[in-house]
Amino acid sequence: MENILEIKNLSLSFYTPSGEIEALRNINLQLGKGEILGIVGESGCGKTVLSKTVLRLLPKNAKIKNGEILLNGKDIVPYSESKMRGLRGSVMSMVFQDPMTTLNPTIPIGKQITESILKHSNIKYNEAKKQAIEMLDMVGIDSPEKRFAMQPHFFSGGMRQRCVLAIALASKPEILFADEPTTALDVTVQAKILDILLKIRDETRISIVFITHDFGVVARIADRIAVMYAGKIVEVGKTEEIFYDPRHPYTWGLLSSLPYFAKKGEPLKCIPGMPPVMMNLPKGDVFATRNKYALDIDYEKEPPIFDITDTHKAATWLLDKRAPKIKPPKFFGGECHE
Amino acid sequence: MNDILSVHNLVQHFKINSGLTINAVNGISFDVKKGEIFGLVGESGCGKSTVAKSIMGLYSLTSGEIYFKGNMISDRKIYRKNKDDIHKNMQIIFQDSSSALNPRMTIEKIIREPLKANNMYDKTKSEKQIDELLRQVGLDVSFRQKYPGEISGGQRQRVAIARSIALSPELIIADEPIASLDISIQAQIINLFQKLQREYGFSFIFIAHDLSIVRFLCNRVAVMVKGRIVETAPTEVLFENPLHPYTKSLLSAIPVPDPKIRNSKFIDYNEKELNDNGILKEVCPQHFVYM
Ligand SMILES: Nc1ncnc2c1ncn2[C@@H]1O[C@H](COP(=O)(O)OP(=O)(O)OP(=O)(O)O)[C@@H](O)[C@H]1O
Ligand SMILES: Nc1ncnc2c1ncn2[C@@H]1O[C@H](COP(=O)(O)OP(=O)(O)OP(=O)(O)O)[C@@H](O)[C@H]1O
Ligand SMILES: [Mg+2]
Ligand SMILES: [Mg+2]
Repeated sequence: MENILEIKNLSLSFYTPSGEIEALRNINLQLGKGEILGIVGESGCGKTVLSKTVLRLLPKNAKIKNGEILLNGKDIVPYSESKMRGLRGSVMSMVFQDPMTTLNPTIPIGKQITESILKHSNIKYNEAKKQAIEMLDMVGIDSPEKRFAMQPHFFSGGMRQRCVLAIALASKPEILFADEPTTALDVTVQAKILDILLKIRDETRISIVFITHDFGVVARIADRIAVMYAGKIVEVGKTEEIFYDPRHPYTWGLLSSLPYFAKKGEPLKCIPGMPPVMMNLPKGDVFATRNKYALDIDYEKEPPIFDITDTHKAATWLLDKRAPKIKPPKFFGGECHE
Repeated sequence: MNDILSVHNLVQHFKINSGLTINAVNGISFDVKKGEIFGLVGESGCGKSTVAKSIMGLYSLTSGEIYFKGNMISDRKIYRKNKDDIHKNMQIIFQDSSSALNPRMTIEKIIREPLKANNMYDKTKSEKQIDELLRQVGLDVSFRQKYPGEISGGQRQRVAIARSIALSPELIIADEPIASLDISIQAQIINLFQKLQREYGFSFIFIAHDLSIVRFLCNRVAVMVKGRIVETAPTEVLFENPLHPYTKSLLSAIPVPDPKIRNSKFIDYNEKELNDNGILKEVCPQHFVYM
């Protein structure tokens, strides 16, 4: 598969009065044309920052320290702001986690979608308006003609989220960054939206970076999954590889906290401790303090990324051939036990 | 008196202009018992947040009554008389509360503010409590000095949760409080809610679309479609024996974290099938279905 996006050795930090926050640490990631890549990981691990870095939507105190972002083979890191503006919307667009950051509260929803269409094509206003109404209908907003002229605060949370998706798709981008695009939707509407995205992908070969914490959703939509922890990608593989043969203890922890595997009456399992604030990081593997499988070397040296298959990689010392053999928890074909 | 909250025939119609009225809530009734976690689920746009905001007194009702600890707080006069009690004992966590945090306040100030406003602030005690609250929602003390713009979406939502439990309210209305959180933190917050319920007798209205969490957490559940409750029952009864076609559709759509079950059967439901003048009938004890 040809890669539309390739991120190489990307590191980015925020410089704040209290110090440097290492939000992205040596990220390597590819996105194929027509591929849906899921990104999962705990709150604060850098999922949103990663997408915003590619689109260059970060505040001034954020600096790329190292690395390349190849879009169709061309490094866009050195691009000027005006060149980036040309890419945003037309080539890459983003659905933000919080719909109200995209929506202008004073402008009717329909007009905001129409404008997004007009900005990226040479059609007449009335034609764009017609398309905008079709898009509202497509994302499941009923009476779209009536809703067209209404401002965002007349819409429910889930409706706003679907409107934002409609705006992002209206410009027909080649890459869509969708940051938790279905969190505010009930499961029936969510199922429909996921089907729509899959259909659009099959028809247009759009590539999608799908950020979510819902393993049910990634299982349904993603071709591949990247697991992030503290600004790093700790495991990446095909969806089946991540679910049926996870190798990183952090991925094990995430899977075990799923309510799907929980027993009623018992507390849900959580990964002990908290993700680190990404400042003055300790040496070694930053996950070590929360990892019950941690080895001595984890406190000394950061693990490299090990290849498991051509498509499956994980950054844990457990994969080193000198590491003791442990019995990994099983999640499927039986219940989750440790 | 066993109910902390009673909602009677709540109707909420929004008049947009002379040609358009949105009938957000069309006559719903339910009670929340003391110490109970009551789940409210349903289609996007079916009126869940409107119910929550109506209870909080943010809209005047088109019609209907709301009782909090026996006082009819939908009446403005009675609301005003009980204002202090309501402010302290009924808290809401909004669906998008993270965007409602004051961007010019530090996190510690955001959590401290309601304590001060309700005269519950005591410097040594409250400052320790703030550390503890942050820890309970999975944030450490280094977050105290940060501003909302400097933290991630899920971290902001947790600040909102910490703020709303700071006053130890008797009733928390949680409108999709954890949708934006990853599963490990979700688990932590769910365990926290369960602890608040079991150890301190908090009551909750828990609005959510993640049905596996609803099943895990709630004692009773009501399912809404187009501003109406179409089915309500104790949680296990509802999940084991759903009777209304929309409930069946909803349960069939739960995404399963297993890629093999990707294309499992999804039962569609057309909300136009819902008739406008049905009633809730008790089909077995405590199990009501709209028909
Ligand atoms: N403007 C900023 N200044 C300083 N630090 C920031 C800024 N924006 C984000 N960060 C930090 O960068 C880290 C990554 O944030 P990011 O928003 O990418 O998290 P996330 O993985 O999207 O989390 P969530 O699931 O909660 O949305 C966080 O620790 C956050 O505190
Ligand atoms: N302030 C308002 N003015 C006018 N209409 C409104 C207002 N708030 C909500 N509505 C409308 O009322 C209906 C119910 O909205 P509500 O926000 O209660 O839905 P919800 O069940 O919370 O949905 P979601 O799951 O998407 O958050 C929607 O049709 C919405 O457009
Ligand atoms: Mg985020
Ligand atoms: Mg809502």
